[in-house]
Amino acid sequence: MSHPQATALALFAGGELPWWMRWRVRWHLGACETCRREVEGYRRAAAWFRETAAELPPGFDWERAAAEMRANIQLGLEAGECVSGPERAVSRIRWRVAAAVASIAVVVLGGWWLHMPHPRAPRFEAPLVASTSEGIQIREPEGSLTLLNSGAVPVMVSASAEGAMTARFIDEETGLVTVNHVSVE
Amino acid sequence: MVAEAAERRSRFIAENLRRIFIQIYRMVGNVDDAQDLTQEAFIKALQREDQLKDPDKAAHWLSRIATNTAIDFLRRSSRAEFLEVEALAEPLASPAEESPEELLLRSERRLFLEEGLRVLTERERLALVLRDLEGLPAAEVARRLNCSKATVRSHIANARIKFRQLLERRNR
Amino acid sequence: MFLWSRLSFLTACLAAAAVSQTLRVDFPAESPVTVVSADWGTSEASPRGGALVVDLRTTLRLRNSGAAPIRGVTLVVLAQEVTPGGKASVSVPSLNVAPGETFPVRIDLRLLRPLQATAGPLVRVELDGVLFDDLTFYGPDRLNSRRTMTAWEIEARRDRRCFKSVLAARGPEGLREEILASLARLADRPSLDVQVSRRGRATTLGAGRRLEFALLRWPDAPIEPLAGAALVAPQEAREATLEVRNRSGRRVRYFEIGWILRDRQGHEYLAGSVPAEIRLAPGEITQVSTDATLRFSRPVAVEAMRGFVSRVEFDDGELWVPSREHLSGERLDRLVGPSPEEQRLANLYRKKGLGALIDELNRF
Repeated sequence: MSHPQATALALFAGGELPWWMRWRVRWHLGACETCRREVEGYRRAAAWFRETAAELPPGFDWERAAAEMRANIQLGLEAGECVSGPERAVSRIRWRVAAAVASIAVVVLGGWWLHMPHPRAPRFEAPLVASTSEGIQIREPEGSLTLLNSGAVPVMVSASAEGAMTARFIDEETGLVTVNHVSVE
Repeated sequence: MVAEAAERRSRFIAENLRRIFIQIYRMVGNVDDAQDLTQEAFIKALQREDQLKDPDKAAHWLSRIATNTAIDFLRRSSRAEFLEVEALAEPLASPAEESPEELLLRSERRLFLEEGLRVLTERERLALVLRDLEGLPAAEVARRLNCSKATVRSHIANARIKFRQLLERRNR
Repeated sequence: MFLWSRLSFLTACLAAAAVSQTLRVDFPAESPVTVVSADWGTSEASPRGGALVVDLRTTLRLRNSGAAPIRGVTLVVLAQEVTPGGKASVSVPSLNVAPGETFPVRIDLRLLRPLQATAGPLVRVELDGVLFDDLTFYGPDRLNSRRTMTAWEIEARRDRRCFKSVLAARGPEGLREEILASLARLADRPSLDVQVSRRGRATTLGAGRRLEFALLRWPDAPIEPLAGAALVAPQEAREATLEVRNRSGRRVRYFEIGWILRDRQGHEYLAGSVPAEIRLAPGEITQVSTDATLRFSRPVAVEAMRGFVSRVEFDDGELWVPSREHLSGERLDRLVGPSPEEQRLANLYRKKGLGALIDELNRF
């Protein structure tokens, strides 16, 4: 049996193939477990990427940076500056110069800005349940428990508004349908 | 009225600052540039107060401004070539809430991601970010990167293949 | 130095110790399911900074020590030290285990917890329930596994009937088409990673807007959804409220409403379900609401929502589930996915071919 190329499988996983190629690949997948695993591998990698790339750079001091950005945004609005186009290089210097020269003003405005009553984004109150690329999870302040999918593909995940989550798959080792379930009270 | 407008601005910034910063950071790959560009995007957005009234539309509209700002910057830095962009970008997913202990595991993943993205070419990284992170259709990614749909598919596929290979090596 | 020495020592201890010290299996003495053996497989513990990550991969081999064939088993997995407010379980539906036969149950889990000394097993596995062929049930049923496994078994019978009638009407090739269609639906099923929180507001995206459900009404469903709405924002949905009427002639004690979201591009996703434990007399109308927040891993610009009755339990324990015609008629089958039995049969076809599938259908 000949198999689709890796690029075709990678694009099939993300839904970018033209319809006529998609149809051919899907037909092949119906009979080829190896390629199905490949496609699931790309989907898992994409899920991992989405999950991880949505986070801050490692070791980055967000609170400090956010305070600085908020202060600078306020400065920019107050100064009526519109930073765009070819002036970009100049405007970057302008930020630094403004910070150096108007340091007292920045401190005063920044202090005022920081102490304004900002509506803070409320945090999730633990515990909660979540689905991840590896399985379904209970998260609490004391720790977390994940029931793993063990590399099974595909996995059907469903949530319940009572605070529960279920993952269903065929366990490759036992060959049986297995349903993992987590819930919080 | 002035207090109301200030409150609206303040809430708008609080709700969107982090995700816009991450969106831009993933495109330009540099923290300092991302900070400056984030400020720039917000200032552009906040100078049109009328756009803030509908929170859903405002969030989408801000994402579009952020994408355009980052692409303009990369173009001027001669790191990539683009045409003017048009359509909306999807807002970026916020990081999930997690227990404190999991932050320890997360930092390892984030470091790995940084290394992984460096393996990609700039085009591959942009295609992957615009497609898989911002959820733009492939045709739209092609327009923003000023290349054909076939070329952008090639970038996306190569990026996914390289990324997956790295991930599998890490998990061994 | 001291901390690292302590961590290394503890890691060595955990790695060297029998995993049975980390996991304990407790079944009642009179249980119709007994543990024959436990293969601990690859289990390990490793420190990560100030936390300990414990991976446990176990396969239990259980025996049907009762007098009737077993259709399903649910085991509770408890880690009270780590997640005291949570419960986990592993179920194996779609079984056909005759008395005296054995079957495997795999439990793969990961614990993440602060590093600290602990006495006793980290994880306990107990029996929540066993469902037999005649739909009788054994077990404490703390996780309502009787209801869940009975619903699965009813769906299993529904789906086997369907496949057998396709085989009778259209022959083996007709059955093959039906199974391939099932595999295609599963492959194409749109998915959305979700977090669910019960307590407190968890939004980072403002107040959201209230959206009404478009509710599907099936004339033969015992529960009729009348109206409903929920708050939606780009990354979450919460505070769903629903008004329903019991239009059957029997008392109802539980029902579930399936919750579908549609985005601006017209893509639909099964966001979750809204369950309600509520006693409803015939003809009675009631309102149910949930304080849970469903948070999505990626933004969904929600334009519309649909709701449908996905499960009803009567006061006498009998269950109602939608028919295959209900689900396919509204294109819900693509969103809801196959039943466990349909999934098992499709997998059997994939692994062993049409002949094996036909043989299996003929066993029932």
